[in-house]
Amino acid sequence: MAPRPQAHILCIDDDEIARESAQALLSRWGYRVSLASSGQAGLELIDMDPPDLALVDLQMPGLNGLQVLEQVSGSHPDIILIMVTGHATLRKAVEAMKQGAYDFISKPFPPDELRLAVERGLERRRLILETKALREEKARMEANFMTLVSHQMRSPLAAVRQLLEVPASQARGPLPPAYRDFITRAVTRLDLLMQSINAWLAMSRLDEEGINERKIDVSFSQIIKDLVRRVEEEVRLAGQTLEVQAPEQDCTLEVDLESLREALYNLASNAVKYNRPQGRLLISGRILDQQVEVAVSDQGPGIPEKEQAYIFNEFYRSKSREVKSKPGIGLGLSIARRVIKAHGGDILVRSQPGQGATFTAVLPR
Amino acid sequence: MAKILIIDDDDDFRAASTAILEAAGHTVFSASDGKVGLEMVKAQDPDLIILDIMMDSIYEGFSVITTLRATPEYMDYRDIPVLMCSAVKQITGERFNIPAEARIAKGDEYLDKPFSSQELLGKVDKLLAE
Repeated sequence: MAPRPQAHILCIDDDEIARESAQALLSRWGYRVSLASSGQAGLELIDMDPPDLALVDLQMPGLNGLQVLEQVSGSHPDIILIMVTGHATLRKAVEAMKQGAYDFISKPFPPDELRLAVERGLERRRLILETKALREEKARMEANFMTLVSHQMRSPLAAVRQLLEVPASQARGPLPPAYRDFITRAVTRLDLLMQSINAWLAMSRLDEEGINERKIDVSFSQIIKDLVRRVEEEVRLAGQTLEVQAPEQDCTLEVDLESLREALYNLASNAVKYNRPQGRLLISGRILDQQVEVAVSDQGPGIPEKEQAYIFNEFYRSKSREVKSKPGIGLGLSIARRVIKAHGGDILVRSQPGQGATFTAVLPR
Repeated sequence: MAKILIIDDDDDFRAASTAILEAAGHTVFSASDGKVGLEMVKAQDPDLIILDIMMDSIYEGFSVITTLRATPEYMDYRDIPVLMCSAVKQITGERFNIPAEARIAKGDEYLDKPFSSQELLGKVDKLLAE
């Protein structure tokens, strides 16, 4: 086994004898040791040459042990801190533990006790670093995988779908009936696969942190216009009518435009999908004191009350005939709600069976 | 019927779109990169351009449209409507820092790839009617 790199231990203590005895013991056990005679000097050393573990005297003039603890746990949270207390002041030691110290020992300490505390502390440090490395590795792999999926898979699938569109639309003359069904089936399967990939990519981009980072100022009426523009063709192709009630005034919202567009589009496109033939789709925007609302209403079969609690669950699809007959994978609403929630809002659903459904996205102003 | 120029680096997309547009009675020319595409704009003076945004890089598509819209050399062609398309969903100015000249302008349209023949012909008819 390769020798482990020598662990580095910093001892911060204003008492010279205590420092030197700690140094003598720790070096004998094979550790690299640095010494600091005050809290301030200790902090400087930590910045210049961060140790794996620090022994910190609680009672020091100037910056005391608790103050050192507070600063180090802020700036170097993975350094293990063991508090050293001279007068066996248990109360202070407990307070230090509460603030994030790993352990404490009382002076004068028997060598074995020091050794045990240091070994346990270093083991803890090793685990912390290992977890951190694993988490970074996982994030890297996920990022690579996403790139792979989005570029290496999506583009060729899109091309295959485009090629199939030529026979599917019978652009070059009618397809022999014996083949027609097979082309239609292939197209349906491919469309579903691409929808899954897109939904899944969208889902994996949806962390609140990312959404906050991408927030920009956008006009509310522009958001409604974008939505209408994006869905109007779909409404027309479905033989339905579109009614828009735009807000009378306008206001500025701080949003991640891309994910918000996707979320609202999911609501509108669902409404088209489940609307009754020749039904009306209503998109309305409202500005209230503290919030804005975007409501999308259809005139479809509606959602039974007992199902309303589940429709936002990932991969949930209603068992009803109307829903099962339409293609879908059950991610649209859960994505929409995740996005709206990440913006500090929520989606409300109102529906009476047989009388359509209204989904209202509420966003804080 | 119209003269349509397709600029797209993907052979399969060009072939499929060409088949659909020709079946609808249009005359179609195509180019597989931005440079050749711009030369064909001058040579053929098309009524409409279908432009893939994400060719070699996203900038290639945008540079075609900025050249078309904002250089004196293309003064005579700057009003040709452009149907932009891309397999990268929802290309928007915010995300890719698109130059102002290349934003989807009045009279232009955008289409996600893959598109149905109805969607394609719908957008084409709309742009040609304007």
